[in-house]
Amino acid sequence: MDGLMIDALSVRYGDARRGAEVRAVDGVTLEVQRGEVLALLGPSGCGKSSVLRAVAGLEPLAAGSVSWDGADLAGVPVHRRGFGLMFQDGQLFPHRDVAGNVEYGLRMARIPREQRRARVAELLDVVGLAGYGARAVATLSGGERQRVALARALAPRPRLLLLDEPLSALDRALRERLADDVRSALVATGTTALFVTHDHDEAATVGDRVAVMSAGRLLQAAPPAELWRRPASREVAEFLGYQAFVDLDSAQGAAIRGALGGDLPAGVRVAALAEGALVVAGLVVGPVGMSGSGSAEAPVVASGTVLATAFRRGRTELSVRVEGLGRVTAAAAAGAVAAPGDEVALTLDRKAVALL
Amino acid sequence: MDGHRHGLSTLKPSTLAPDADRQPRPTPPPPSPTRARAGGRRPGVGRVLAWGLAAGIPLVFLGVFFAWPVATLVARGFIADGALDLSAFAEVFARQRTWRIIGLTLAQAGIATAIALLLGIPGAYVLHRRQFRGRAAVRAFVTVPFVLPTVVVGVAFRSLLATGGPLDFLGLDGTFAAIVAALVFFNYALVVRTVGGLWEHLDPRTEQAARALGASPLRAFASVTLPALAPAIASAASLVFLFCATAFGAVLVLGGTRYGTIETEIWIQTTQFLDLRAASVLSVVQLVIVAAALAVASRARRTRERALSLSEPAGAARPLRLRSGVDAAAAGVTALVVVLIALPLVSLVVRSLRTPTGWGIGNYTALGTTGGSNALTVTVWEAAANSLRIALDATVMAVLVGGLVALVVSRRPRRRSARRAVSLLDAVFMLPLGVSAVTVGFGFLLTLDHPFGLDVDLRRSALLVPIAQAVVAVPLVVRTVLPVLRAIDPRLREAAATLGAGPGRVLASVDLAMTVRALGLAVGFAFAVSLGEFGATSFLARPDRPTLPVVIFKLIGRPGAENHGMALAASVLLALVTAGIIAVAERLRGPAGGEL
Repeated sequence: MDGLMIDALSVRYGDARRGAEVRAVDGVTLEVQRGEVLALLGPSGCGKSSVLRAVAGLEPLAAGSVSWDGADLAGVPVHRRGFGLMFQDGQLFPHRDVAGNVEYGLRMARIPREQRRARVAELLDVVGLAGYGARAVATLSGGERQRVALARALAPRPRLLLLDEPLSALDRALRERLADDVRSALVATGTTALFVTHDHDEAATVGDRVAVMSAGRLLQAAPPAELWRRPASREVAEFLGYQAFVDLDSAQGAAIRGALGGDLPAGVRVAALAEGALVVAGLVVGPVGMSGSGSAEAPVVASGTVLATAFRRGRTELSVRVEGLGRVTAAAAAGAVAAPGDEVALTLDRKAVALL
Repeated sequence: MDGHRHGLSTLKPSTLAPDADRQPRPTPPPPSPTRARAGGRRPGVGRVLAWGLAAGIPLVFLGVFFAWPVATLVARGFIADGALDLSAFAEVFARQRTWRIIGLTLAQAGIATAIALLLGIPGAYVLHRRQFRGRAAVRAFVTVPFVLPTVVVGVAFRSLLATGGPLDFLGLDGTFAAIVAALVFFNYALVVRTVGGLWEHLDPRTEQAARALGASPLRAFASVTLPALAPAIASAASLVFLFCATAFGAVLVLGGTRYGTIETEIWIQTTQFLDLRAASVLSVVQLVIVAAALAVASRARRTRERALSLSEPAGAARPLRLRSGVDAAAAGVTALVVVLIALPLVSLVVRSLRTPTGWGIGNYTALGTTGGSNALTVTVWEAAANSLRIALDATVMAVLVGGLVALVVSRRPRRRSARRAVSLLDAVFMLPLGVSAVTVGFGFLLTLDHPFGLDVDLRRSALLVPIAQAVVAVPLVVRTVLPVLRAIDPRLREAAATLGAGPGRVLASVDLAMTVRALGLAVGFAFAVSLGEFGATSFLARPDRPTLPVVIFKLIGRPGAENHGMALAASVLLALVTAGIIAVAERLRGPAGGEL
């Protein structure tokens, strides 16, 4: 097969004989096709960075194999694998300027100086730092450093680029912008990449496919849209940010089932609701019926008590306690106003519901 | 320990300027865009062999030239005629003289350490926490004594205090107070640098928070700043105590017959009374004191490193305001210290220009002679040339051995067995850190006559003095280079490897490139230590090939104003060369850290 094949990979730390062994990675099988960007998503400590380091040749394998184009990489030292690696904090060489960092891999490949210079200029352009070559590394901002680190990793045209949470140390706005930039840089250079992150938005932005890991095991790998639509398990759904789980056979589930429409795939028993899947349509008026603005397309599916309101990214979000679901984050429909303590009617946003 | 004083303690973060150095450009063979090659071996035999060699060279060197002499020395004290015999201990400890010397050593070191701290902490405040014009010059000036050879300091103090000197009227020549003053003179800068280095990295906002919570300035200092500085103060105190307790050259020159330390006593017992067993017993006592001081120092160092990693880089120091009581008092103390430091130095230079026939450079022209009534076997210039040649050899050995020690000890291998081996080596290599120079010299005398039953007398080899000086300088090289190597993030090496650098190129383009300044500094330190080394050299230098410090010591021991004038001139010469080397080395330091 073409590209990277990780087969039943296990990585362990510590000493088995003393019982102090930690299984960081436990039987992970995963492939990355040539030209594909795979995002490896998981909470911190789930072993995703260990997978990356094992692929790079920096961690010994306890079991399994890593191969490229069908050739086993066991015994191939780090510097002969042709895999680039980008760290969370860049790890730029402090004693070299920007160009000196970017051209490091080209020197190691013994590329002639003229070609090196051209390639460095080209890469700095790709990451949006044209003309920064002579700058000292210490004068760069955090975002600029990561851009240089990306250029440095891409310069020797690695067969595979490994990115270890490259954006985690940056602030949110910069992270979101850079995630787009990383994606376009990888696509522009046609680089095969394995991108490790704990941020599901980032994973969806950068990856052609997203693989979810937890506690050393691979839970699911799928393109982002499919993954969010059909998480393989409740664990995956929870990690993707789904907040509440409704049994569709329960009394409460009936309303939601109705709102989702008739044709559900076979075997679906549970609906997972993301933040904002429930939308506050209006106040519950009187003890009997619900008012608010339920309609044929968006019928009222539940009611709840407003606990708190918050304002995020220019939109009102309400924390609502719903009988049987617990505390959920609901979006506010245009014009809906509610204060803590109010009883509100909730409709369903079908796009924010996954089926399990 | 005489040679150890050529290090300056700063605690700068270990980042190197980005313009540091460039790798030589390799000649470009045909381009190969895909670097990956199939196949490849598990890094095996070659690598193990290389690291074995890297660990083996220093192990053998320090084993033969440090462990063996010291072990022989200790054995001499405990064993007589092949059986355990503690009678030598009983006999030596029955002497009143022994107890007096031990008491003197501890008293001198204790009092000098206390005074150095009392003067040094205000100095650290003024020179590292406050900003004023000329601060850099004052900082540089107060560090001058620390790098001066001990014999030179002894001669400078005598030129000040002895008959005919400007402070003759104080009657301090040959007194306990004079020795303590010289020890403080040496070590003031060590306190200022160690404490000040931490102080300037302390986040001022912690103290501001205490003030905001209602603490008075004094209370805030005592309850917040002082505890934060405690590790640096403890570290400085233990190092100063170590240096004072092992002082040799200055004490020998200043103490005359009445005062001394264990170091000078070992020398006297060996060379004057020829009582080698007594000297061995005293060496054992000295080793115990050194080990204790080192244990305290390394403990303090560890807490200091922890404290440092917590601290934020502090903002710019505030200007010195003499209106504020605290600033004025600290500035006053520091100004006084500056004057006191200047006195012996100025006196040395001025008196070196005074000849029996009036003012002039007669003492300097006399450096081309062998002194009045042929006090010397060679001219001072010849001795200076000897010193330079010996220092060159010693520096090469010290930097090679010390560099390898630092390299090996800085590794964190993955395999448990290898990791254990490294931490064992770490402990073994740290042993000579507190080596007393006199012990080394004395040990060489005992062991290197037909070593291992070989038919050579190494005592007559021209390499003996450089080897002894290298043993004394190795710890300094390690202390300069090791912290910089340890501060390199291992992921930097991993990044280089993923960019296609093999183990050798990682070593060259990351480790070596980032340590090159520290290595330059280490070369300077080692050279200066070797030039001024007197403790070991005084035992080992051949009469026909004396070094500059040996010649100076000989000259002041001889009668005649002419010889005395020559000693002063030779001291000025030695001081200038040493200070010049350190100045160049300091320029190399840049922002590169290192412990000293």
